[in-house]
Amino acid sequence: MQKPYVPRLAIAAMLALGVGWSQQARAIPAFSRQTQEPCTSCHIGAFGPELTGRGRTFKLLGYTEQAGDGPSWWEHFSGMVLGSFTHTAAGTPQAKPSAHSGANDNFALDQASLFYGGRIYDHIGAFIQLTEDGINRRFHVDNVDIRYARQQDVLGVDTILGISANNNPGVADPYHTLPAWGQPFVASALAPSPIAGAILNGGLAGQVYGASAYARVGGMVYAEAGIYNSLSRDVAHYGGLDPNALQLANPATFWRVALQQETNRRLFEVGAFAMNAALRQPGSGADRFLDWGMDASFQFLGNRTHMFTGYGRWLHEDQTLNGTFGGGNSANLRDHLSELRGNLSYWYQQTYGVTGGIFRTTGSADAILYQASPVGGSVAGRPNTQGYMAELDWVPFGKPDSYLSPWANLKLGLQYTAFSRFNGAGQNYDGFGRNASNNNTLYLFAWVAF
Amino acid sequence: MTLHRPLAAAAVLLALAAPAFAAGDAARGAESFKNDCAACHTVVQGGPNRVGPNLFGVLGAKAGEGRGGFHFSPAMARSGLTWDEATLIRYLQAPRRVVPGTTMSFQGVDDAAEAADIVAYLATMK
Repeated sequence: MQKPYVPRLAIAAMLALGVGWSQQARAIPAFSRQTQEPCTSCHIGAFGPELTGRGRTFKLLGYTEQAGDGPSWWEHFSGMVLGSFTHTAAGTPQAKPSAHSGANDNFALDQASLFYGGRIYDHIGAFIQLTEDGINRRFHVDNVDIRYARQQDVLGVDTILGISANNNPGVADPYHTLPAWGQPFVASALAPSPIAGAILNGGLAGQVYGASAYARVGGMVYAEAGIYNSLSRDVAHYGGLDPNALQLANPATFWRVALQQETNRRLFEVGAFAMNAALRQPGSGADRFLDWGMDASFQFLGNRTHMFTGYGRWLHEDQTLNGTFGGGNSANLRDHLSELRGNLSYWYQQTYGVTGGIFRTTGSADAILYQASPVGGSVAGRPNTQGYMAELDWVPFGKPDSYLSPWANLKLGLQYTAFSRFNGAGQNYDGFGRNASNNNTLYLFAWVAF
Repeated sequence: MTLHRPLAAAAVLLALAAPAFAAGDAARGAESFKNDCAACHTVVQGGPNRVGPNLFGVLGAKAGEGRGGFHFSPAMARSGLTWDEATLIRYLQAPRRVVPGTTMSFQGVDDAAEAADIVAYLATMK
């Protein structure tokens, strides 16, 4: 996760910067070794994390389906390396993206991860990721999702029931509209990030532990409800996480409901979700966040030669900043944020992909919470940011007869993100002469999983 | 009476069409099998079992038996089914309705026509 460019620890800014904007990458061949299925079986574009219907079912069943007696124990372990080159339209000499990078044109080892993935026992499986963050140079516990799941008839209806112990609200979700698994699936950690984002947009990722219960009923309804609490500072420290992260004042609750119409070849989904969380501000009370929103998806897989997907999400956050306002760090007791994101993708022969997307964040004006500072600040005192992204992908392997299948896979991508507005303005948004378009970012990446 | 004649004629036509429909198209079935089934099942003689069993020669076989030692669910093993055309077509549309408790997580193909096509294709693999 990126560090804030803004010097002050304004709560919304701290929650937003880098978290959710710079996605964590996940894709592992251990599942392929367990099922003896190619990557294309569960993933659109032959590479994770974007799931097909088969992949959603495999996930909801707790990663437990296997071919025969399953693989050897060591075949449940996978590795992943993500390397990249980032160029922004104008460098950031006043505020370098990280302590180990230059002002622009940075090559980086974004992350290297070790995974355990797959069945542990009959109905118990796990997806556990440990990551070396190459940007901030730290090794830490990343995604954890341990599940117990069963598929059975309930009142004559085919139902999957499960429990997930995990460390990020939304990570158990089988769709690609919530922030935890939303597009873009990777993004530069060395490009300027907007000043604000909703807490559900990665603000608690990895810093909490919790559990959610879920059900998919009749292939038409998916529902999940979960509860989360902060890791203790000691556990966070030993897990390589930030021991100084703000703690939840009381357990956060999360729920989501989706209606879907799904076959092996297409998906239509509409849903709603919400999270309620309160973060303790030392010495000045707790800030409350109510996140809620709606989402929709479609996937058309056809005969797998031409595949189309579309994902949309609208997320609104009501903030009651008792602690931040009480401490004099915001101008308003109540602020709000709204995020809108939509993406369309096309894949040809599960090998060549093109994605286009738009994003927009709007929110309250707050001259104290959002202040002018080089690159990451807002002279307008507003979080408003909008732009578009485009991405080209090439996945040469991952098909049934591919080289090294199921032992390794590779994705090469070229991503461009353009901003028409950044932190409240198009021109001189930070008060130091920087324009939104100066943050336009070219991101080339090579993503290897084995 | 005259009003009923067109309906009767339509019923006759449908009845005549039904067997052809059920017979399925093996070529289309091969394509459907590739898209819907091949991730979990091999179909060539001597092919390995995956998440699901090898399906070579499945038409006419007893459900839950053989298949190179595949670990069938107890529900499948005691289903008592024989995979004739009609049973397979029903099963492919809603596996867990035909065999409650089966570990086959697949929710089913789109419709009876597609199921019939797949069965027609499987009939060629023997």
